[in-house]
Amino acid sequence: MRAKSVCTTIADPYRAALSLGQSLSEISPEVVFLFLTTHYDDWTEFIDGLFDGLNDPSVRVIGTTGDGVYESARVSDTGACALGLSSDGQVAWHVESGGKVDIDPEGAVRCALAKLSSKLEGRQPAFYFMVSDSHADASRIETVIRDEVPVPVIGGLAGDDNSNVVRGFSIADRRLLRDSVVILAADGPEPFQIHLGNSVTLVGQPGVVDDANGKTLNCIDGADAASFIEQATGKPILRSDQGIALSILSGAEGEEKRLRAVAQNVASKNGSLSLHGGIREGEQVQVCVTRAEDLEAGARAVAMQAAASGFQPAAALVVSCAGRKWLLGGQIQCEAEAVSGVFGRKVPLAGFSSFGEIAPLPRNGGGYTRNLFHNMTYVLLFIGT
Amino acid sequence: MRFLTTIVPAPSGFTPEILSKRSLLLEPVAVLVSDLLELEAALENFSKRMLGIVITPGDSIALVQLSSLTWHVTMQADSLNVAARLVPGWLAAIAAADHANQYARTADRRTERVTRELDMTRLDYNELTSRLRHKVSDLLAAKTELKLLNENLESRVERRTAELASVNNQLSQTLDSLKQAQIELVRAGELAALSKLVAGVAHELNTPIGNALTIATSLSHESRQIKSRQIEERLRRSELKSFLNTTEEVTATLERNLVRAADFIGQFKQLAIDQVNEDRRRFRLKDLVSDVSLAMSPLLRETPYILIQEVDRSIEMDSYPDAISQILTTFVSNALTHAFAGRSQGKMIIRTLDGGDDGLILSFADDGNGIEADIVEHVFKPFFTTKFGQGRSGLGLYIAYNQVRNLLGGHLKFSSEIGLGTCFQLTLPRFAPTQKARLRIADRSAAIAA
Repeated sequence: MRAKSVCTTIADPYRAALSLGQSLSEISPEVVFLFLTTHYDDWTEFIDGLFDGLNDPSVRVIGTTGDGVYESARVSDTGACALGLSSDGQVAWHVESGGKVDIDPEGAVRCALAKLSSKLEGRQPAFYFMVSDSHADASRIETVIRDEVPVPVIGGLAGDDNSNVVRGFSIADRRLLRDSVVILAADGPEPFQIHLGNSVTLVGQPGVVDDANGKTLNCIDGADAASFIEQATGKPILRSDQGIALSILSGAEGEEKRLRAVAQNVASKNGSLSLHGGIREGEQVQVCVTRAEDLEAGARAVAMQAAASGFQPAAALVVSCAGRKWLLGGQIQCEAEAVSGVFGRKVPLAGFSSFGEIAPLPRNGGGYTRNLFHNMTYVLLFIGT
Repeated sequence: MRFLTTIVPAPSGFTPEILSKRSLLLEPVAVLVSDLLELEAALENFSKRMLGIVITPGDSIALVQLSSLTWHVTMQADSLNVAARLVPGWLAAIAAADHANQYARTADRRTERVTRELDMTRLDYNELTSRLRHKVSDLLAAKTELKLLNENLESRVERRTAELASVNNQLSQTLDSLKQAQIELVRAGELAALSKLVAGVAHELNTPIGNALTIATSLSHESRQIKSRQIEERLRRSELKSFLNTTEEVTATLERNLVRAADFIGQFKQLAIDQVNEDRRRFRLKDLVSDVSLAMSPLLRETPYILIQEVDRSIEMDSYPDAISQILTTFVSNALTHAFAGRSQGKMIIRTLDGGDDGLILSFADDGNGIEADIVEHVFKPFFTTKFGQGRSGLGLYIAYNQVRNLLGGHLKFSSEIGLGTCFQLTLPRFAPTQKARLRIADRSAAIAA
């Protein structure tokens, strides 16, 4: 497997993408994982530049926007990055999408999977990589990939620039897609490993969700959601808060665990809160908080775990929660540096700051759990040589 | 550093190129074209997008800035070699400027982001300040209310304290009255007990002494008549013989009645418990119980009932053996009289148990009929007996109770169950209290009672 990662902070969309494509063309990639911030205002120019740079219209592209982008040794608030892979024909890369994910998450995912299924001709891929519009209720996406997809699905929800003004989008080949889910299938004998972690600490007492509607959480244990969380954390909920999440204690199987982060906004007047992902009434939850130092140590631990496995990656993809980036500030570089640090060489790497992460959890005895939707999580997908 | 041209043949230093968007925007470039329209055809709005230098041949030298980083140079064809020497440095300057420009635009984006975050923080700050103000306001109000409550509380406490003092005083007076009433009741009770005791003693002595008096009166009358007959010398031998026979019978009856009275008085004397007269000594309890058993054996032999001893041989006491013997005798006697009525067999057990370092438990149990519930509460009362007129005084258990408490320094309790039997249990010190100690205890009891 040949791999190369590149990044750019050029503001002009064509020139930025052209520089990426030109650089990646050195390995004649079969697939490009493209991640960019929302600052590029002319998508047509961007995609023209990319393919002009690649100089190969057959290259498959999957991508999304993020609150930031990761490349081998840096994380940036602006610009774009890309990872090109070439398996010399050993792996076939299929990219498909499903629309209207906002109102019908399950339908959108099933639609994309159905299209891929026809391409796969009955084969199971090594893994799927998935990106989705973040306005969708990811807990409903989770139900499909958890219960209906037997192979690992890794990915995340498109991020914006945390301004709540612009909206993120997904990329499928030359198409910019909003309100959609895009899935790539790695069709072939592709070795890979998934590692992830989130360093959260439970605080307060567990409570039962009394009133919730999709991603809107209204009441827990007879109190409005904001009051319940404030009581657990001992502080008011602020717009600038990040790292506050709810751990869902009920309904998990085995080693599975689920988090729902509180979205970056203030509580409504009635104390309701928006979550990154839906939650159901009757579920038992407990507030958890995250500290920057724990996140940093956790990221290193995840990378070290990967290195300790003996797996030699040709490339890595990172999907990391935007909340982690907010909390870590300048220290977010550790999440990009950790991989090269533990493997003792520059590993081609690209990734994005997501508004929700998707991955199964590695089991202690090997293998993975069912596919799950996460928050506040750092996901590493290593692709083998 | 790229020097491109569409002119054929390409002048020295220039590379022939079919112009495209890609070739014009990849990096700063110097392009030699015969007409600017060629550039416009390759890249719409090229003057604002491309970076570098556009050279067109002309009659004279001219320099026009198309955009911040794009220049148009017109020069004579034979001067192009000069351009080739100038352009590299120029392009490098344009590249540096572009780099700075991109950096500035990135910085702008970051500034926008930081500004947005600061705005968010400012809103948080304002909201927090507002919440804090409300909290402080609430706290001040609560403090004022608390202060008022404290002031009220002090006056309420004072008022309540005065009320309590008054009630306490009344209670104290009531308590004094109660104590006085209690003392009077105790006295009344003691008098009542004394009256009952006197009545009982009078009753018990009345019969034998009355009989003795009647007999003595009759004997006196008879003797006066005999004496008169003898003085008148009319006393016959038969009359004297009859008198002597009668006297012998009467004096025997008189003696029995007086002995009965004397026995009762002797028994009654035990109530006084004149300790000075009690024989205190060191003895082995096993020996004492054996003596009691031996003394009772003639009586026991006449019954189908048995007395069993389960007494630890090692127990030695420094106490009043006569009192303990009397108590055990009372228990055995009572059992033989009451416990086995209507039974063809019965068993009595005298047993010792460990009572701790300085004491022992001496129990007497029978497996007889048990005591009726309405009798239980009366068994220790003086002159209480269910065998009235059958030779029972009703003092046995009363005396036993008093001797255990007042002389031996112990406790006596009993339990009884109908059909299963009765058990008396004495908890005794191995070393009985001295007379001085008993007096001290008695004084303390009196003080407590007062």
